[in-house]
Amino acid sequence: MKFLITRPEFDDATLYLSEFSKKIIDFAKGKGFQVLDCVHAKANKKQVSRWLSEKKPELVMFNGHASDEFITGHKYEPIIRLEDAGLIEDKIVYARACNCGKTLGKLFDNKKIGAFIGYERRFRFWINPSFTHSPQDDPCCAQVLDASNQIALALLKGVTAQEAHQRGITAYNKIIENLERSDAPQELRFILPSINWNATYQVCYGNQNACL
Amino acid sequence: MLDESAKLLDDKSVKLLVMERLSFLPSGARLVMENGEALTKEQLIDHVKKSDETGEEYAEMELLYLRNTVKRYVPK
Repeated sequence: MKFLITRPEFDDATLYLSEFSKKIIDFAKGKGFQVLDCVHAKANKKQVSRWLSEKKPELVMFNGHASDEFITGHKYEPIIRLEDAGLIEDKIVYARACNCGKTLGKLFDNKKIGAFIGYERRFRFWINPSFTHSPQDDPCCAQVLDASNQIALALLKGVTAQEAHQRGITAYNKIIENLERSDAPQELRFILPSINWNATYQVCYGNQNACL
Repeated sequence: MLDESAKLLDDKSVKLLVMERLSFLPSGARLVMENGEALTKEQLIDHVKKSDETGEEYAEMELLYLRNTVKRYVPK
């Protein structure tokens, strides 16, 4: 099976998302997936469209900036617009990107094959710039990005789209529960509203039983 | 879900609450934005003071969390 992932790397946000995606790529390779890694400048429309149509990956993960109208790749190039939905509508898609759930995701609503997990509002996370050389050590974002990684990891393990969506929300809620404990470190509590936000606006459209 | 059309920061008590909570942010923390920026505590406070779109959404995020916290801990 094939797994396509986009990892633009041109600002702090995309660099962090790309770094945390390495854990997903390693896991996918370990499970025997052929990983179609659209990293850095390879996260462009031509490359992504070609691999989507020629290689026909069953699972697709987008990392990057997005809007109601499109998901972008390297340096804000739109790589999937609403009119390109045909390229992904029969696949299981996880878009770790802002806003695209409410438009692109909803296009999956009546699909019998594909499924789309994403966010109806902005995907929020914090960083500490002193960790940009090693994002995986940044305590401001590690928990939230690891929680969102659970969605892709669950899909790679073969669970249904609905179950992967739920595992993501459960992971977010677990962080909230842990950080709200009276003995939890207070210095990270400021991330709680952003985690609650991501959990609230994460959506799953399409075939809820879709799985690899 | 909150009413997206409401202007939360028109309410002075909400604005004060959000700014007070922002004042406790660690100085190194930056909120990643969709345009590639990463906003500091001081920049976020400015957005809240101006009641612009960024400030309004930040207030929405804080109030959503506080409301959900109440739901989790206070029995109906």
